[in-house]
Amino acid sequence: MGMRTIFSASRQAFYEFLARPVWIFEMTVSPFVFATVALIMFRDSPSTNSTYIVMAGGIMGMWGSTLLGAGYSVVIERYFGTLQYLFASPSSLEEIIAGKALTSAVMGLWNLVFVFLIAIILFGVDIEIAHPLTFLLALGLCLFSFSALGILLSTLFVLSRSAAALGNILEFAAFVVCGIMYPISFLPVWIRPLSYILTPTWGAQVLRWAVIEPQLGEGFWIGVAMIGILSCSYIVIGHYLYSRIDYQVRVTASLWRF
Amino acid sequence: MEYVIETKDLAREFDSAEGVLLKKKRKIIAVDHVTFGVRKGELFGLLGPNGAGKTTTIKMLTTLLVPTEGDAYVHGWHVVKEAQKIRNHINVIFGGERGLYLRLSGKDNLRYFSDLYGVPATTQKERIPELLQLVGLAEHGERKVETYSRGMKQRLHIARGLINDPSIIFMDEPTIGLDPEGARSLRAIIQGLTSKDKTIFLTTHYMFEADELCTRIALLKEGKILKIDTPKSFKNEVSHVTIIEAEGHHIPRELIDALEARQTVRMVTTSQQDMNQVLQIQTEPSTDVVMDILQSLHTARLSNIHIREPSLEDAYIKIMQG
Repeated sequence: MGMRTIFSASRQAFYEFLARPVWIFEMTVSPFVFATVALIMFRDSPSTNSTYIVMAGGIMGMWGSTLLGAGYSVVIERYFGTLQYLFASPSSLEEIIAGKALTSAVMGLWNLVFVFLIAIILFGVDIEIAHPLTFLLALGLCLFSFSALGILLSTLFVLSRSAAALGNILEFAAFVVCGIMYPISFLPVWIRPLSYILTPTWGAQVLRWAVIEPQLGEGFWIGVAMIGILSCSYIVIGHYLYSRIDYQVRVTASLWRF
Repeated sequence: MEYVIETKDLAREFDSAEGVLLKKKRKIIAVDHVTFGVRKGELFGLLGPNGAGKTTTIKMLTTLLVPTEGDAYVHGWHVVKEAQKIRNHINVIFGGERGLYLRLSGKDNLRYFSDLYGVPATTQKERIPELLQLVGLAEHGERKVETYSRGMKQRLHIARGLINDPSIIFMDEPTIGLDPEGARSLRAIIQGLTSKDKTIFLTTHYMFEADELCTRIALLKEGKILKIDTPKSFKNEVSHVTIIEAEGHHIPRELIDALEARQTVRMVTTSQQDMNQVLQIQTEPSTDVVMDILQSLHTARLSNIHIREPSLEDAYIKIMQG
């Protein structure tokens, strides 16, 4: 069923999102907080590009939304007792989660757009993007890679009920480890390998190049390559884990326990 | 005749942990080597008390659980090795309100599950209104499920369970928690499905429901099948007795002992019903014997005394009590 399942799960996630009365706040308050925090933190920093700072706030919102969509949706499905019905259907859970991740990624993109709007309208930031087309392509690449990472992390949520508690930790850990607000060279050396295997690190790097640098240098292309390699790795590992999970949850009977 | 559902020594254990810091593990046997077969078009009932292993059996047959031992086949496909093939041809309905997207409409729920089962869009356009009509929700299809009553949600579950036009439907206590009217309407829907050539595998602990619906019944206790037969044959087990029931408060132990000591009495049970204790006596169907027992009950100041024919529930209690 493939694409049809992905599309259907994506549509279902969108309908459910809109059916929640608080969606309008989620789509406005969260980006507003990210934009405000980012701009106030770096307000008096002469060496920092304000467009990049705004964008960093947007990346945080995108990552949070994608993680929530891919991972936390499993927790919600389990809570409402729908997870076992999804599992009993001939569609693969991996495709269903991919569909939800897709919707969340689009919602995440809105987060980014809204952060920009807030920065322009409320804070009077002059947005300057050095390579607009490259920026858009890099953004698409980031969304794809965030979704792939979200799908990989969702396996934790399927396997374990306790993983729900990890949601917030995973969201904020990425802000720290991936150097979204600052270069990862600021981080202790021992933590950097973790940064290198997470695509938000490289996503932040390629977006920084597209926004700030006058010429796209080696760092940009390394970032693009790393996003490609890591995203494909996430998908392959995620696919393998889901094939294992399909059997494992039937052994442990963890599917319907909350 | 060929079976569409077949189990051979099917068993399932669960690990259970006790304690907080020093956890002690132990095994719980939920289903203990059961063997049975269900024929095409049958409405097969699996009966048993809570914890007998009914839901675990259904979960293994619907590919949601892997058996610890033994084998099970649905349409000849193995439930573990060929789970994907089975899922296209079956559907499952668990009792209770959970398992629906409450913020979506009934129609949107059905549309989503249609997609997950690969039902073509053109078929969906006809089938969804048909199913809503079948379960009496045609007027409420556009309403959000969170506004449905419990009975309506359960009927929507039935519609969801039929969305892929399955040849076998598994229903796990579908009428649980419903009011009598809702339960009756659901039973009528279930009965109607057998005329559509569907095989239905039903679990319940309502005896009258099994008696009314099932063509054959398997009695499950502590994971083991005690007996498989038709409801009529089950009732024949107790056809040679008359049942006397009486209500009272604090029925004296001496009376129960005295009744049990009678050679004409087969079984005496007591149960609590609301504020009253209900005494049930299975005795020989002789007028003299019955009159004699009635006399002793009047002496003990019991009320609401009545005599009735044996039911499936009586057969169930007799078999369960060995």
